[in-house]
Amino acid sequence: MHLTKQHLLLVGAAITLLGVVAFGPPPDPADRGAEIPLSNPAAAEQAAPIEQPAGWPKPRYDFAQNPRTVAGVRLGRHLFYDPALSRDGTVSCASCHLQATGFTHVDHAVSHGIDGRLGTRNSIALVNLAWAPSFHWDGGVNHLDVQPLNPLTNPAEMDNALATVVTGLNRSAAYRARFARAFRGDSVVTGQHVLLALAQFTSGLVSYRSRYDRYIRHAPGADFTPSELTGLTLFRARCASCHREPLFTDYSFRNNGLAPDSLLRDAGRAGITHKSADSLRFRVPSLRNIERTAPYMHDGRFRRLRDVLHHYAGSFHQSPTLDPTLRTAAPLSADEQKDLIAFLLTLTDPEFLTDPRFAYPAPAAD
Amino acid sequence: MLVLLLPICVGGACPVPMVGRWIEVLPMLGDDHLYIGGLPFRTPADDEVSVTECRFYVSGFTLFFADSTTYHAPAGYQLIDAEKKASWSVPLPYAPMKAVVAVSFVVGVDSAASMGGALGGPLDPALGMYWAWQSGYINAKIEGISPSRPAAARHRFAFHIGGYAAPYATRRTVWMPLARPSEAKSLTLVADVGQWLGAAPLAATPDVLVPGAAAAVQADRLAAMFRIEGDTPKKFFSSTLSVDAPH
Repeated sequence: MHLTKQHLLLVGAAITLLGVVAFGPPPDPADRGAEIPLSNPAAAEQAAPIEQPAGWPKPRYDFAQNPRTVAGVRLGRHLFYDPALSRDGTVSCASCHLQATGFTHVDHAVSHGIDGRLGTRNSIALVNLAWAPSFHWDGGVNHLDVQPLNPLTNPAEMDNALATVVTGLNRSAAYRARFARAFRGDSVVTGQHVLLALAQFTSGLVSYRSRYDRYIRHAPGADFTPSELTGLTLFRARCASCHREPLFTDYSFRNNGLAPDSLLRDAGRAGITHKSADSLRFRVPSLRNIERTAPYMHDGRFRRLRDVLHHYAGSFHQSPTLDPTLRTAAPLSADEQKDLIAFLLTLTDPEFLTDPRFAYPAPAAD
Repeated sequence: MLVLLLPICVGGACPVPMVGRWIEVLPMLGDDHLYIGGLPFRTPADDEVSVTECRFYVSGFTLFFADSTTYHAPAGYQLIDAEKKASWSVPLPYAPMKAVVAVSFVVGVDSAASMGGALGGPLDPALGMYWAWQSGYINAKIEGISPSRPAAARHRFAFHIGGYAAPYATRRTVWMPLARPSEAKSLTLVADVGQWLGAAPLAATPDVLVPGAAAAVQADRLAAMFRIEGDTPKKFFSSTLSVDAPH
């Protein structure tokens, strides 16, 4: 078991090295970490816009309301990786959102917070958040800024209060200096600034440099194997109505025919809208980096990608809200499932998964 | 100017001179001041309650004058906290000293703010008036203890009233004609929490902590708890989503 894991890591590292060589450095060196000293206010306030991949829609997030700066993004990264945000100082955002696994919690069907308390849902991969119109498996959160309030306050996650976090940060000279650099000299930490800084960091988690992206852009040498090509064609015919390119989700809520879990009793979207028509509907997740983001589904019930494909091969739990597209879906043959998986693996973005801008900040980073 | 005034300020409470008028919000529990954690009070619905927290947002104060003109206070929310006297004064800068015949204001936060991400000042989510799992502001919060809640832990009750989406929007515009025109510099707006809690027996009123139909009912009740002191308790409120005039 351990050997397998280590092998995977080695393979991952090898892919990563190849990826960096092949794709070149990240396009925004100003934002790469702690290389630029921020003692100079001009460097701190330097604009750090997110990447806008060619052919993508415009982001939903209104950056005019929260302009990204080098110092703001770095502050957000510090907060993201700081376990001091949790009530007992043991859990950070990154505890359940690890970069190497596409910013989700690998190997955990549902995530655990402080004191080993278990939540009820699989942590969502944090990717391309600036394009999302709502957040969570049930869409209850309407803005990226306020999303962190959930893990911060949920008793099964960080079990804290934003006011407590603010008080703690105000006691830290290092954080006060970081907030001053990020917010035009204002060193008084507020809840608003904590949330804005986190959004400056998380909005930058843009994954758009996978083999699929290179293929779509006709990059030299970016060829698909016959199986991957067949997979792409199948994907567009059978999956893309919900997992819409290029974000690989249409951000809708759908019942994909999973039998309800009698213990979790999770009604999904209906928990927010109180409409029976939304019962058992959950967010259509992005498939980017799906190779790394196991387990799958809102409750993490499938450990392997082939379990997911097997589910879509036709074993749907019948209920009134089952998505119409699945009611009439033809079964997927074993070969079709294999080709689809071959295609899905092209959505892995090694640069994203190892980008130093998103990694744990060096202790001395300002 | 400030330097000249500072020496006469004692105890840190320095009133900054302002041209204009004030609304003084006065949290009450029946005929008494509302003391947080104070002695139990018997509501009109015959429940014995002790209030442990009471906070609500107000904005959009408008004075209607006898000469048919109006005054609108500057935009901005104020979070009234029954425990913090400093939060009770709502300044009406440059309001003319004419006879006021009616006052209107809004209880709660508008949908633009509830969908506007991380805001600051009185709307900072760190103040605990913002929901986590379902985005939006809590317009008003009241918590307390009552023997009418024997099944609840520590006999606690809680009403967190919010929700900005139709048909259960909970923001309310309160419109109060005064029985007698007033030229007073400061108008006292009584917020009688006893009225709110006494609108129905607690035993028949489960806690409300989510948006929805029950929250909308509570929003009507809390909007009906206001009156101008010294005035007849005649008041009107309407949902801001309603196209009807105050009825």
